[in-house]
Amino acid sequence: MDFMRTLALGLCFFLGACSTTPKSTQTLSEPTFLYDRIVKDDIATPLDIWDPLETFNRASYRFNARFDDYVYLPALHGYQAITPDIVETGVSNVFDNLDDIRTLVNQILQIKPIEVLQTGARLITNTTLGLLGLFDVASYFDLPKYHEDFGQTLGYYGVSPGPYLVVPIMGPSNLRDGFGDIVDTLPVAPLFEDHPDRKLMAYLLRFLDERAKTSFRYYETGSPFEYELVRLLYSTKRRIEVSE
Amino acid sequence: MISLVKIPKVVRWAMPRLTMLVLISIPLHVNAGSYDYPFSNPYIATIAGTPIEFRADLPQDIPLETLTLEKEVGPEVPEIFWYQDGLDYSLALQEFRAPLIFVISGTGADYKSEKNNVLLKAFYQAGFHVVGLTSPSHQSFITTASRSAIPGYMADDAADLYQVMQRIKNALARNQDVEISKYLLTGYSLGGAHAAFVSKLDQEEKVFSFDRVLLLNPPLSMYASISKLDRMLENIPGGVDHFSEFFDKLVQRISEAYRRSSKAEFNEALVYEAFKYDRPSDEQLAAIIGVAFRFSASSMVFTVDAMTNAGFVKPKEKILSTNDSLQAYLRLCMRIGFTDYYHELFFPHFKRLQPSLSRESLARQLSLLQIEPYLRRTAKIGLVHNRDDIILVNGDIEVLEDIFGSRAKIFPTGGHLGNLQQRDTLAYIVNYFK
Repeated sequence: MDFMRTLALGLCFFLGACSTTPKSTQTLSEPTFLYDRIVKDDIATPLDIWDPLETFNRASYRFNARFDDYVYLPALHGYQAITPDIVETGVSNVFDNLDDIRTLVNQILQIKPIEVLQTGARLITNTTLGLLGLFDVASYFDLPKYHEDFGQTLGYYGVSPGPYLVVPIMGPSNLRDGFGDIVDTLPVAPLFEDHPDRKLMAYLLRFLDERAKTSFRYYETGSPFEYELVRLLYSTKRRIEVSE
Repeated sequence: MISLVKIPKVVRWAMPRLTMLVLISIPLHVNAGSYDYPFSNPYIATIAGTPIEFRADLPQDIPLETLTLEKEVGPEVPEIFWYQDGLDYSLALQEFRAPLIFVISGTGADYKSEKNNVLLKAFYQAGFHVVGLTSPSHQSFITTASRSAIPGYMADDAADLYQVMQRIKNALARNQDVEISKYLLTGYSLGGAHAAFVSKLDQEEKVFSFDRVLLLNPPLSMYASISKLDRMLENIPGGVDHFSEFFDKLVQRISEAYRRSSKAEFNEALVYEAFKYDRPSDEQLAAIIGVAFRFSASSMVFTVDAMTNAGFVKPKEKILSTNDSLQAYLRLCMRIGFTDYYHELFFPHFKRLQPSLSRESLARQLSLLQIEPYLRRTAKIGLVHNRDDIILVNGDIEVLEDIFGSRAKIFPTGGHLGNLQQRDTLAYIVNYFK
């Protein structure tokens, strides 16, 4: 993970350096429909999402699309081709089970006793009967599966999302949730403390599993405004999750 | 670990559909009779489609391949559309000699749209080779397969589509294993109108000599339909200026459902839940459809402007870089109606080419009435439509019935294509070609 984080950080600087564009001084002819005449700037629209790093974020979005095309998806397809479906599902379940640790911690932080009990029961069931999470036995018992992360916890206590961020490789986020994601790795980190090889393997599998669970494909919306659309959807989705 | 997982799966279906897709749980009014479709409200039908229990049985998967045609025509693609590098289409072949059917998508839709997939599966199941085509109004087609990069002029769109279809035919001819007995053609919504004009063109060119052609819920007059959809935005309570409040209310409703829900996963079922007990009014539904249409129109209009440097919303000389924010253009385009595009960009463009052109005669050229005699006399062309289709205006359905006579199949309900997956509808469509 440290490697991934360093790589991501390095890419941030690289993309930042590439993304400064010279200001043009040329005078432009007026289009048929002029923004200043048509759009009322004082009227709020759902599209107004704080994005002070937009230039960087756009470069990052584009980088992610290429990364997805040339690295991420081919790696995923390779993984899926060589792994029997049953193993793939097992791997996926193990990570889902580990995610419940994160959810549990955040439910405790948000003081939600009923949910804590449900997630606790789920975690115990799947870790024991489910053989360290390989099988999702808890779902047979109708134990609800929650998703809570530290970004949501911060939001729960009133922290605003902060600027929108497109993290290289990782995808859409914002300052609050990006920070939350780093914090969320802390409870599971000790599991791999003394096993650097296993750690690398685990992160790699996790990385592939996450892509497998996401049906999103870049530039398939058929809209030149895909960046804006994804930004709106991500922000709205987090707003709803935090409101819970 | 942060990840792409945080993008909801529904993202690929674009924002409006996030709210739309999942209204399916609205109370059903089952009507008696042989045509078993539950929604008598055309807005609900249009948004919710066909609930599972009313759907035709279709194969889970068919062996679809995605193939790409390299760009050969049209203006150069600007840097900001770097990701458009060719026109994709889908193809599934039978292992035996079979008819091949082309399916043309509707406004703003590509070859892998949900409706397209439904049709491809149904036709494949019926034993046809199937080809899914992207609509000439889609960004990918505008940038890589349109000669003018100004979609909407039916004769030009049909010629571009015809070119694409011929290239696919030629590619298949190089494959020794494919045996095609005859060619068939269909399209839905705007694609239905396209199918009519392509068929007319084929009458002269005779490259395919289509055996049968079926138009699914086409507009009679593009201009009338577009104006109608444009005005749906006016249903936002308080007007367009209050869109933000309207949007916030939708989000709030979904949030409440999220709080109530025991599943606590953010997904489509949740949005479904949000509207289950508190049915939105027709005005709200119309507003949602209006917003979805406006977003798709904005995408098209901006693509055309950037491709042709028409100086519509972007200053002519301005060359956008991939890092430039497009937010201002999106906000601007969402404010401009499709009819504005028609009058200020589309009409002037064709007026330059044909100086005697009037607005009325251009509107007529975008209508099925333009080829009315051909449609009347050509027995191989059929029509499927719904009496309550929301893209039609008063009197349209009677005109269509008159033109197509016994070749018109009009269902009583279904809104705009909401009943496409319904058993009887799909059976009629497939049987038409058998």
